Amino acid sequence: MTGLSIENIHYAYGGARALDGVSLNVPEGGIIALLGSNGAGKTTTAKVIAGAFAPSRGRVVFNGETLSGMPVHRVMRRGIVLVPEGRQVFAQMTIQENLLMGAFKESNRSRVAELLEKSFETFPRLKERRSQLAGSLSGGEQQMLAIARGLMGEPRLLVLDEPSLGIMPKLVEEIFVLIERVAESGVSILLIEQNVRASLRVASHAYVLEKGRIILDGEGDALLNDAFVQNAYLGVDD
Amino acid sequence: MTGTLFLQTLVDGLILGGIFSLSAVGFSLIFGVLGVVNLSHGIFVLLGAYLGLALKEAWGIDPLMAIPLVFGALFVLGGLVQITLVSGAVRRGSLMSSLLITFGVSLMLRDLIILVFGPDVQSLSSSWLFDTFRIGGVIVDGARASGLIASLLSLGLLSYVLYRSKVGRAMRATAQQDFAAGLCGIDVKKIYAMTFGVSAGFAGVSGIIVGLINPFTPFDDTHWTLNAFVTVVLGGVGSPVGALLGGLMLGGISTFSSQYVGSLYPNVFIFGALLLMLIVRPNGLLGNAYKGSV
Ligand SMILES: Nc1ncnc2c1ncn2[C@@H]1O[C@H](COP(=O)(O)OP(=O)(O)O)[C@@H](O)[C@H]1O
Ligand SMILES: [Mg+2]
Repeated sequence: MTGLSIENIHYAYGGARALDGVSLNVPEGGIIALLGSNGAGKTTTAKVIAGAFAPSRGRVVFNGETLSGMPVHRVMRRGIVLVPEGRQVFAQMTIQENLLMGAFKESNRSRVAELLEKSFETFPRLKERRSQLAGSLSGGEQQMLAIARGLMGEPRLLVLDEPSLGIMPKLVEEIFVLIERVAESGVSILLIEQNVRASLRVASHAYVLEKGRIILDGEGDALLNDAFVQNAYLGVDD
Repeated sequence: MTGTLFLQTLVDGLILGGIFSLSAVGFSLIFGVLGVVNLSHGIFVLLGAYLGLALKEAWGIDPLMAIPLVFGALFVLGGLVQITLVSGAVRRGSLMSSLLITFGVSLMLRDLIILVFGPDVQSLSSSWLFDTFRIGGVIVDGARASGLIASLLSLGLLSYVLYRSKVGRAMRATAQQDFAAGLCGIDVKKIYAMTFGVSAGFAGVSGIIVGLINPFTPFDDTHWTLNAFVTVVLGGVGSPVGALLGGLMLGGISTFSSQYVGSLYPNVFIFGALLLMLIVRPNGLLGNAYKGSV
């Protein structure tokens, strides 16, 4: 099977259970959403996928290969890039240096230059400010930089952990447009979000996580019209 | 006459400062990248001096020529110490465990030095090092002059590596966001080992220069660890320029206070400056080059 599949993942922080048998699939191509409120276990799931945590039970399989147990940098080199929650740009490095870090695994210099050029085409605003420190950017711009840095690693699957968190509404729209464009270029996307409405509009399929379990999943449009989702996540009046 | 004395003191301070800077830069790097207060730092300075001594006595290699060899040997030893011993403390992320482990490392290595070289005073000096020359009224001897040049060259080289090379960028990235560095495909544990190796290597190089100028014993390591600590507090964490500024300040304070107040008092002035700095600019003159200062 191609793409990512998570099978029955369990994870606990010390004694505190965070994931309680999570399974989901991200087939090749397209956008899959993982939704849930604060503390549901979304970031923990992202970190298990990225190799930061080894699950106590279950496994992560990508294109037929078991990844769980691999360290973070190896998982990245298999083609899964996580854009972490809170952006985590290298604040004391320039925008260009941040992007170059994203292409760290690429040893061919001319290929790195090509990737940088391509990135600046997609993100013209980053090009203008290439020699500024990343820490001087606004939250939204840092999010753009974090995504651009992730794309420099030429992922086959991009995992985005709450890209719209704490960002001005106008930029949020821009970020969702960008995510669709990235998906169109052939990169699979696992979109982790609390912004349920916007995510369901772009995702072909979505999972809803609550207290470490998947409680619901279905096609984006179907969930958008689902009574439970409307009640619990979208506000009744809509 | 007093003008010449002032100039002489200034030049002496500069030279001493260059050595302090080089001896501290590794301590600063390890703190910046690994978040570890490396109490074994001073012992790596001493290991450099003793290794220089061994190479000189066994094969007659001039200590200055031995610098690349000493760097290489201590790079490997530092990397191994990180992988086998200190990595546990980095992972646990607790200041206390890093203090305990690196203190333990320094005790072990000190005993090793005593076992091999004995507890007595040693020196690296060669006859040519005492050749002096005069510039204006200022007298400089060969040991001090070559020490200053070697210090500045080493610091320049380290800056170049940190800011212009791929591995240097990876070190800075790891210092700023270790998780994100891993997500970029960087093997963070390897970077930690390399950082420790580079730091130990530069400490060793500074040890050779120290040995050219002063006699040394296996018990001097705490002095060098403390100097490194003070230098970093004065200059700021994590950049060679910070270490250079801190070292020059420390060197200047030491020589001027010994010259004009009395040779018994430099510590009073050094710790006075330290206190003042902690009050006025708690992040050092340059702040933290990785995390940004407030
Ligand atoms: N480092 C941690 N140590 C202990 N508990 C944690 C840690 N990180 C998260 N948790 C707990 O695990 C659960 C899931 O957290 P998380 O995966 O961050 O949720 P989400 O990303 O959906 O907001 C929460 O109950 C949270 O309090
Ligand atoms: Mg989260």
